[in-house]
Amino acid sequence: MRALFLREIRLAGRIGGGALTGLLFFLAVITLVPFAVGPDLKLLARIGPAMLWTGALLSTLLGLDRLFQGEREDGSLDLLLLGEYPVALLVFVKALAHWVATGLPLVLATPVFGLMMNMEPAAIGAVMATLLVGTPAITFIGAMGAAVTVTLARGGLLIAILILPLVIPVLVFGVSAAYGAVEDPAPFWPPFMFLCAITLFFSVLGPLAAGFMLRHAAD
Amino acid sequence: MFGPHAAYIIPSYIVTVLVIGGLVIWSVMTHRARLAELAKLEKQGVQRRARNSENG
Amino acid sequence: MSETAIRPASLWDFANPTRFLAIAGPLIPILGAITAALFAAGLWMSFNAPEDYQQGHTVLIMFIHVPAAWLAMFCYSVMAVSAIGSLVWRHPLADVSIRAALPIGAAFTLLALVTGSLWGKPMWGPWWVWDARLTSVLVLFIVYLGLMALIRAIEDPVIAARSLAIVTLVGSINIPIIKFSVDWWNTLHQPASVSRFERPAMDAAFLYPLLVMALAYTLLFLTLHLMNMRNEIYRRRIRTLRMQAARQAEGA
Repeated sequence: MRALFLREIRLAGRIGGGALTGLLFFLAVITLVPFAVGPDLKLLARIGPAMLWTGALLSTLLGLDRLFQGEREDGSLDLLLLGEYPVALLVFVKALAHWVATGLPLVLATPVFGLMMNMEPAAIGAVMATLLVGTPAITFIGAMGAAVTVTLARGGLLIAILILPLVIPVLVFGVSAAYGAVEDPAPFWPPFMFLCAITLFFSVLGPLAAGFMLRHAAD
Repeated sequence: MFGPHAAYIIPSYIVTVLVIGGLVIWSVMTHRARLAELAKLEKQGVQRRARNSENG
Repeated sequence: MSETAIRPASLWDFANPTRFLAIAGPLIPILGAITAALFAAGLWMSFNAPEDYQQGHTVLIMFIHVPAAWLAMFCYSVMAVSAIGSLVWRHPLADVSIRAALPIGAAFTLLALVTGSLWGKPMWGPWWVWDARLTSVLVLFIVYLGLMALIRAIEDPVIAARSLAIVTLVGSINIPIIKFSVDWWNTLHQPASVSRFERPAMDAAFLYPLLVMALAYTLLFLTLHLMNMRNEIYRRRIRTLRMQAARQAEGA
């Protein structure tokens, strides 16, 4: 298990791996925002948390189709499926490694982008905390989408369509919590707790569905 | 005849009729096309194998 | 295969496509006739309903909008149950049922959205508000479209059936979550700016036409569903015949 985890991270770290691409895409999205809405600093600070969340969500979606594609191509996916471990556990480990390689850099880069959006330190901290808790959920749901589309040649866009409705709750609670930390009447903890609950829920459901799908797509 | 809001009521009925009518027509046309296709294949002498799932 | 023979349960009588066709064949015209009669009655009752003191004539839109929204959800429930049937019992018609329900559900959801928009414009002002209910129906529409894209993308019928059933089921678990989260999101960001049209008890003058229309829509769904299932079965037969013909041509 640990070997699998480490191997995943090493692969993603290489040039052409998902980590750098996701980060650059995140940067591109955040850079586009001021051009689209105008360089008004107050406005940027207000929409900042929402934009950071949207950017992080899109760049997480972007890397998902690579989750099983490589293994599928060189045949090691079948080996993993035939192994002694439950498939859901394998998917869980793979998704976790994928998140560490692609999601975690996004979270760590958030302060820089937050400063570019003229956000207060409290808001930046809140966005980081919510992204840290929330992006794993996107990866876990995405694992299901990646498993469904793994056999397809042109699956990339399909994942986005299938997964988009499922990540809406994550986005809603993530952004609510981020705003809750800055704006007074809105609370921080309830949506944050909901976000944690959703992540835990999908960390079970996503790998189970993906594992089921992979087993049946294989035969 | 539908008061000041006829501009909203009439289009909504038109859309409903179009969509439901479209569904019905699509189903009927598909049915006819499929039957014609089956008849054509049968004429060509392709026989359906007696499969378990078909004969139960 | 042997399972089908042993089980006495009645649902398994429908497991056989040929028998399904034999039952559905005569049923479809009957259902269609009842649907048409109900629509005639429902429309007559709707147009004879009194004017609402608040909504004026726009209450007429309710009679086609509300049943469409109900059916959009009912259709997804049918698909979710079929998905369970397809995954757990491998019921041969369950996958056919999901596929047949998909376009109908998408059409009803589209109808609910469009008629709702046409109703909302004179009542609320804007064509669209990001209200919790509207947003969750929009998400449902996206789910339908995604599933339709999915079955078009996968060529292998067995894998397509599996994927469709799994994604349908996951989607059905998620729809309450989406509904719930969007409700919450709405109360946070939009403090009751739209006066939602909700009355505790609906007047009988509106309730009866609405119920008749809802029944008509439901029967319409059942009729269309059976027709589409029949079409899907024929499509599969044609596919097997084609492949057989190709194989024979190769062998000869």
